[in-house]
Amino acid sequence: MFEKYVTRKILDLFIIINIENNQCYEVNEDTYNFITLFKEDKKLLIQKYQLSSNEADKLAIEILGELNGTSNY
Amino acid sequence: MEHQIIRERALNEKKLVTASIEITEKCNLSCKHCYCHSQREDLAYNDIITIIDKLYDLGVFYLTFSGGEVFTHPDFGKIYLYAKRKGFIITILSNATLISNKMKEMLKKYKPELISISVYGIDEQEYIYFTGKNSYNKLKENLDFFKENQINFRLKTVLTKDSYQSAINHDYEKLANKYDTDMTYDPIIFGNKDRNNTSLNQRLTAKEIVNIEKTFSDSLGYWQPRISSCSSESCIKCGSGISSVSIDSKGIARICSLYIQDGIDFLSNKNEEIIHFLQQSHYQMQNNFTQSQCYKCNKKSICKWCSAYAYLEHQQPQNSIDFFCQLADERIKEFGYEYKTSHV
Repeated sequence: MFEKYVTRKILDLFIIINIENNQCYEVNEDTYNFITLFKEDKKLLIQKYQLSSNEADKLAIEILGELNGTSNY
Repeated sequence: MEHQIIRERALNEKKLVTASIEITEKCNLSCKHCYCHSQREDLAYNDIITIIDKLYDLGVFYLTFSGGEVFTHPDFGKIYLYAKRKGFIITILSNATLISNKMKEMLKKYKPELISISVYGIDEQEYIYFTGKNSYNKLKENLDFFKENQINFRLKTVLTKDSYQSAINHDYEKLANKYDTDMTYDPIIFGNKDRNNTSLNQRLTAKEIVNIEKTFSDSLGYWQPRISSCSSESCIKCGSGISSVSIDSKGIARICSLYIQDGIDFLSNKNEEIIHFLQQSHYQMQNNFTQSQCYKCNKKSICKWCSAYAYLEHQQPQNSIDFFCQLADERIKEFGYEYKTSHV
């Protein structure tokens, strides 16, 4: 589920990419930071946001699930 | 925001956002027109990974893998997956005749944005005659695979003496239609990069190119407004070196793969030095243009002259190219009714 999503900052845009189908989603900085940290250092994310591992997963799933259908690319 | 807007913004803001890497010079075909097959080497896997990392740090988003033939590179699968996981939007240039089952599975799961496929014949006989290899059925098998698996691809071909009849009969178009995709044509062949100009034997005359162009219904709509509005004030816009970079199979970065007179070692130089070099090279290319015989010519937006072409043609980046002048004249003669009447 999470492996297929990658975050990139391009120019001043915060983008989440689904690398399976190349769909790109513009998100706000907070969402970008959350997903980036979730992928790169989940332990730090849990600490920073004071979440359990399950809560972090649920939030990430919610964010990524909401992206569907919002791509203009 | 769409990809085109990102590209335009990158150009306006002078930010690198597009790159191509020639990962190998090797090719499994021996096409008659090919301009780059005198030396055949792979770019090493570790060097490619370093290049990808540097491009990532530079903010590049759109990455093209080219060759030679990319699928001859023994590590292409690993390289492709690495770049995908870094979040690049990837285009692959290929002849699509050499794709392993393992690679197909990877392309199916991690789709490229586009595979741009060169086609050199509309049947087995024509393909073998031009490429020297019996790979036409392999090509068709792979096109079927791409279509079945919704992997985005487009076809392209170079117009040559050998493909003239098929092109004028729209046989390439019919092939593309069969796969619900587009066919684009590159009308001009250049001399080999190693200065061995044997590939020019395959170049069509300006008249022959226009003969093909006039069989396409949209040619008049494309050329007539350009001819009507052409003047010496028209500007040739190019983002090479500003928002895009091309890296060859020796790790040399240039503003464009065709602008071969100027390059910098991408691996050993710092990113700031590379950016500085590319911008200087871009401005040199623009200077070549403003100091060229073509700068004041009314027809420059019709011939599509550029400094890279001039250097490839006769190793002089500011000279006009007779062949391009002939092509502009032929286009004006065929499509330029308004131009002719308003300039009498």
